[in-house]
Amino acid sequence: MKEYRLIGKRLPRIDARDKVKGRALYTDDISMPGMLYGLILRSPYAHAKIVKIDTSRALKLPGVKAVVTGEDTAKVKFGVISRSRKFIDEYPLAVDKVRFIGEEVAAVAATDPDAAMEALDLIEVEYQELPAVFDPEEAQKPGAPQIHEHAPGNISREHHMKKGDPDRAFKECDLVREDTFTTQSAIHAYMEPRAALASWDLTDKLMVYTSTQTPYYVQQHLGRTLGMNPDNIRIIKPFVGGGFGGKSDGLSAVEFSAALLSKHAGRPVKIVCSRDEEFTAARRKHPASITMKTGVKKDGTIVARQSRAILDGGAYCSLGPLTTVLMGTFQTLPFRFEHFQYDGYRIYTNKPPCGAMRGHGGPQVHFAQDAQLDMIAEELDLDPVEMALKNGLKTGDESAAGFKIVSSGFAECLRKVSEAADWQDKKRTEKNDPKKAYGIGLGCGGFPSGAGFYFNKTTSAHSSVIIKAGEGGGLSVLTGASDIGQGSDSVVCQIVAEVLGLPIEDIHITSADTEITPPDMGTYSSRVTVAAGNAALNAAKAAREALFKVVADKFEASPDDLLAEEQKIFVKGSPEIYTSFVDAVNLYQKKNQGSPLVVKGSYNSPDPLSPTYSFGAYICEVEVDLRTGELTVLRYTVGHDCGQPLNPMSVEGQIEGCISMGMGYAISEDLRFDGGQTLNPSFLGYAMPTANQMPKIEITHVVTDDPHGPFGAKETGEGSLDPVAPAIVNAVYNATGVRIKDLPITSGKILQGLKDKDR
Amino acid sequence: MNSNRLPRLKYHSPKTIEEVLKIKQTFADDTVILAGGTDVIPMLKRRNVSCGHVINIKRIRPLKQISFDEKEGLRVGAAVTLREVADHPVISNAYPLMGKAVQSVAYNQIRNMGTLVGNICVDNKCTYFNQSAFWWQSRPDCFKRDGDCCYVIKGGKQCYALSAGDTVSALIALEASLAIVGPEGEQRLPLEDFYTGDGKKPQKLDHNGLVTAVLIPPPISGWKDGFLKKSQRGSVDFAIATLSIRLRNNGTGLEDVRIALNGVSSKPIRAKGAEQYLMGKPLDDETISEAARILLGETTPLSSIGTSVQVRRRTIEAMFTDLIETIEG
Repeated sequence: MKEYRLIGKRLPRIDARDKVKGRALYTDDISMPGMLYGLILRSPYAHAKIVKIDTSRALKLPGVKAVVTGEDTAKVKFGVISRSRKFIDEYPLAVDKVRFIGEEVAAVAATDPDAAMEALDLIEVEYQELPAVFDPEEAQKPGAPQIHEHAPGNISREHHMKKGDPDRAFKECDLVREDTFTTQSAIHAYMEPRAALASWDLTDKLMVYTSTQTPYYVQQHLGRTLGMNPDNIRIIKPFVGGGFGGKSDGLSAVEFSAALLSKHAGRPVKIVCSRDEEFTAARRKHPASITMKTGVKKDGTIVARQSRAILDGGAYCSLGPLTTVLMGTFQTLPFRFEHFQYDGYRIYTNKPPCGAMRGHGGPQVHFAQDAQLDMIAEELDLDPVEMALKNGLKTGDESAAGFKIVSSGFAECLRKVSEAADWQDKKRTEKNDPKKAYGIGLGCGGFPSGAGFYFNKTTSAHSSVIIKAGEGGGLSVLTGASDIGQGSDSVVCQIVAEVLGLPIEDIHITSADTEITPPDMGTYSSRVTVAAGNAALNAAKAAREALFKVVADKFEASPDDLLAEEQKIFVKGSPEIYTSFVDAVNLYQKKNQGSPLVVKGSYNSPDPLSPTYSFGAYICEVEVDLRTGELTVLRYTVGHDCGQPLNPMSVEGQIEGCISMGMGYAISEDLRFDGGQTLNPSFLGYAMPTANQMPKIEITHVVTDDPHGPFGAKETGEGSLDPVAPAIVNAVYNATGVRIKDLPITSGKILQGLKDKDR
Repeated sequence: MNSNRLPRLKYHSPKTIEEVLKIKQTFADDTVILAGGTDVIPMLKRRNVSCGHVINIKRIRPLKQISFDEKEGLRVGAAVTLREVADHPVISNAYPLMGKAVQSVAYNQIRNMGTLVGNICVDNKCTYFNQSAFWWQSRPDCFKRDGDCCYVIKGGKQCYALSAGDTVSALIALEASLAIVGPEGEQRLPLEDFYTGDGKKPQKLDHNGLVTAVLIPPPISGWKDGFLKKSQRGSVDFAIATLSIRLRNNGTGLEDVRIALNGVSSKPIRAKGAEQYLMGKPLDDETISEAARILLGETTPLSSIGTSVQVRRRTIEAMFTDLIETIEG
């Protein structure tokens, strides 16, 4: 592998100091003169008609400056997948009807938060309760309450895929297994709740600071719902405390209500969601029921897969129509099979809407796939690692869903982790302690490094970067890529600095201000490193080319013979012939009538699905208390292929974060419902793992040279989540013989499983 | 979420116990005591408790004190924080059981603010009851909210909120009592008699009384003890169960033993049946498992969100066995 100066180095994040010392400004840290505090009134009913809203008492309360309801809006619906009318199904403030507990009904702005809270209690809403439906199977039955007029049978989206002839292929298999797996409702629980600060100037231009993953989508959807040209709206993304897919919906009632209240009050308005609101009403992960049928040859070769998924969508589309598709396509990674059929149905229910969450459909289907393959391996007396090696996608393969694999380190991941975890020995260890059982399990993953398609109609590139050189030799880098904590700002700076031979401190990044930075799809789909990274690479190369041209003229050399290193541009082989980077920039300006050096670079995926895919193999070791069902995760051994890691510390951070989130998904994170009501809307009730639950983690970077990624880099942020939960599920089976097909793995389920086994 | 703000309150900050009693007499059950505030403030914000008067007791000097006397034992005032208890040399030297129990409460920030007596007097917890005012708009009130149903036990005839104080089992095992001051002066009540078993009104304290201190008899040599708390994520979560055991073993059998549990039902449990069975017996696998069986018979564990009755029962049984073995170990 080529050695780089900055790429592949363990560098601290450029914003690390500011964040650690509390200097980084998040939306709630920002205030404006005359600013009001906004709050949202939410529906206590799962399904009801809004008969009347009386805001007069609230408006009379001292300090209250504005109260708005659906009647004050243009009554225009939004939906992040705006290419299809069907998926535009939600008013930013309810009009006529509410469809879930927590739906936004009205909003108030007051001079202090306490007055705003009091005002909420003074808004009188008369509801007429309607029959509601909470179970996706019930919702499809004739006579079930209809949640949307446009969706008979409450089908929000169905998606069907077929390749080859699975029915015929199953007949030729030596073993066919069919199992049904179910998963629970989980939520992102990002550290920073959603927040927005909106203000209008006197020329009717709107500015919004917002905690979002997708500032350009917010600009578009705010324009649409407010009935104005999006170009008159400026969206600024300050520091953001995580998103995990929960802030990628293009718009939320938070941004919309802040903007509308600010318009009505004529003063800036800030809304910050409470944790209660986030747990009650924010987007969440789709609970799913997946019936998976897989056919294999005696030697473990996977031949065919047929699966059917029912997704509990909640009351609105959000990104769910895409989840429905991805739960089909993602189960074709990381294994090869020729025959495939998938039927996915997303069903509306009177619950909070489900959308994208890290892995986006992957965690659900990978749980099903890896658990089922573990069962198949056992039935055939095969080693799961050997079976994965046999079936894993290799460079040059195409998955059953059409994913073209241009680089795969999957086999190497498997070999590395199996050795590092001492898999062969531990897998066979006899278990005869009556109190404690120990087990080991495998999880496998593969994930696209960014979708190659848009949700909206646009002619702009997926990612663009502008570079502007300063006279002092510093570079301003403008990117629409949204750093929400994953570290994309640092990576973009690293790439630009590497190409131009500058220290990273000389790169000054502005990320995600729609007035200043060029368009970018946003942070989702694990796309930022590859897309924005390539755009930055292209822009940096353009800057280098422009500078090399003027320097080459000066030295009467060919630009091809120049190098940029250590803040100098010099002739290859003659380091004594050089000009400093600062001089080169000023030389460029002199030669161009003083016009500044401004260059741009863009990137579009060469493939409409994704340019490239990451791979990973995760081995998990657990301890189970056979008396109580208590499950402790002891260790993860991870092999991850993200191409060339641009910054190994960032990659490891993502993997560790995925292990924490995946453990929660497997064991303890479960939004429980009684009808349409969330029973545990708090950090106490929704048990995310704490630092104390984190196991030992050993990570091997499997470096591949990807042809598409910037410097050969691929994604890590989502693909690392998929194998985490199934590795635990398989380890629990190895330890106890209890096969969990229904997440999460509670102590109760383990105890029940042990009891059933003894019968 | 609409009303997660403090209701309008009159705030009292008296300097003497007499003043507290006077305020209590005047406003009766419209008062609430504020010591650490880690539980009362969120409950007020969520309207889990409604009252017009908050009485801060942190300015009353005698309530801020820990005192120890070899004859009288230990006295911890009602405004002493869990942190102060944990850091006190007498506790770590003479009452290690108490030290362990105190460290099992919540996390540092809460222990820095919350008080020991607050943990003893903490209202029973329920995954339904302890929700916001907004949340309760979507369903009829339960017994604890003066309604007429229970969501924990469907069809239940009373409130089944869980007794939650993590320190209580240890204090009962240590034979602690409470100093309660009322219009008739100071009265002492053994801690295990303080709890009613009614989730709605879990403690025997009328609105004229103020718990001023917890009293623990002087330590006697020869006792061994141990404490365990089991929960999903360690101390941050409410317990599946907390268990405290003290015993004296003369080599051939148990001379004395005290077993107390909390967090499993609507009141703390002193396992007298298991204690009686163990008296005079040697601790071997057989007696331990029989004692565990008796202990479970004396306990009627409730479910809570995330913890089934079965898991709670099996956990108590395993905790008992493990803890006895650790103490004897």
